[in-house]
Amino acid sequence: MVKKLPLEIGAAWKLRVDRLSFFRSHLVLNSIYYLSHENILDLDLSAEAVSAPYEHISGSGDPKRSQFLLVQYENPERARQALNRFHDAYLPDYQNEITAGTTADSPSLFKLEDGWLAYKLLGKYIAMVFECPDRESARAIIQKNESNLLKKGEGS
Amino acid sequence: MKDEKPVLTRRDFIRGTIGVTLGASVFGLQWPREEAQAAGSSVVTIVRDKNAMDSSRNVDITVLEKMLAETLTRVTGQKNTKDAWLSLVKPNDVIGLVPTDHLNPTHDEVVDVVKNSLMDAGIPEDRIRDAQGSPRNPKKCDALIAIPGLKAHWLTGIGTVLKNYILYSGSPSSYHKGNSAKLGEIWNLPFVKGKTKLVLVDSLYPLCDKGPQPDPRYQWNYNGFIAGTDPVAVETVCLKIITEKRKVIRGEPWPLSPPPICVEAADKVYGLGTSRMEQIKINHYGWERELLL
Repeated sequence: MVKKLPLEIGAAWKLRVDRLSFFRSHLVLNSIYYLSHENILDLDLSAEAVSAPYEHISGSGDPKRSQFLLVQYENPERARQALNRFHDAYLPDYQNEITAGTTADSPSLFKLEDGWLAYKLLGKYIAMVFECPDRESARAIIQKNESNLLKKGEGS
Repeated sequence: MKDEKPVLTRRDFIRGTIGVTLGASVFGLQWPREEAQAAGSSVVTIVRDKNAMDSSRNVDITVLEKMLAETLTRVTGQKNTKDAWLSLVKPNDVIGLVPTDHLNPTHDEVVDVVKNSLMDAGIPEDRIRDAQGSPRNPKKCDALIAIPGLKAHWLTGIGTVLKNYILYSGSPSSYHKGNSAKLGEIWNLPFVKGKTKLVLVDSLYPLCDKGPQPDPRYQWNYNGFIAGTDPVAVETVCLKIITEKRKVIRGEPWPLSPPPICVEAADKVYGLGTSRMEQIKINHYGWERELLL
């Protein structure tokens, strides 16, 4: 799982490999990057997840970080159900457009209180990124991870 | 299918909407809305001494006694420890001491120093008891002195002041995970409410990551007491110290995760005190190295 994450996204974002975590439990996820006390991603022993921040490479000020999360489920249907559950719990104020057979080319993007959130269903994977400074970087982080998964024969 | 019950998420913490989302009491009680009145300002006192504990974790009782005396007089504004104690408790009170009893426990020496100080103030020894544990214990007490150890907690963010009374719920497992935000309601139980006369945090050797299990990578000699009569304000200052130490360790901001939602809830939902740093006056005495404030 860990090797699936690209180390760089264009020239702007670099993976903080020293902050990379692998887990299966939402309790461990919460100790790394809190989403909810409830298991809103339906994590269990049949799932695997990695998470790490992408850090914006800029010359000035404190570096911006966006938290990336990749979860692998048993099968695409489990992944779809988990993403639905996540959306309903985390984004109740946004319409949920995920249905069986959803094959959107672009990630779903949401402007939240702490920045942009993007997610995409990639077969049996869910890719998500939190706290992006803008829509374009959220899209870029998801799309680069998607193309990495495809190169490795996954995510379809 | 959407869940009927709203789920507490990171977004609630960021938006400050914890009170709206928190839902029903674990006890099924309706807390009066006036519980959540705006808290006024609070004072938190920190007393440190670099000789309180050495690098081998040996505690110097004499130094602790002096630290306690200074803490009590500063918190209460009284001239001596006897007057300080008697401004907090009545001479005939049954006084319950509530230390953290395991997993980064309160140092025995701290509990002993507090007990001896109470006895020196004229409180009979048989009216000072260990009140940690079963709900039966606080029911027998007129006053409580909370003496938790300072530590982070991997399920609740911080496991110090508010979590100190979790056993009084009679159902501590009910307050882990999602319901950990509701720890403050335990302080409003009829046999607990209003009894806590002093919160004295043992911050000799705090733990700033994960917890409650000890991890020497994240423990250090702070050598202090953090005290006050507002439990939420004391907890907020403890949080600040832990958070700043984490930043020192990593060389970059390293926020607690999960965030300590229980602290904000204790303020805004249960009305136990203030969690707003701008409303907390911190008085510090003694050793200044790495104060973290």
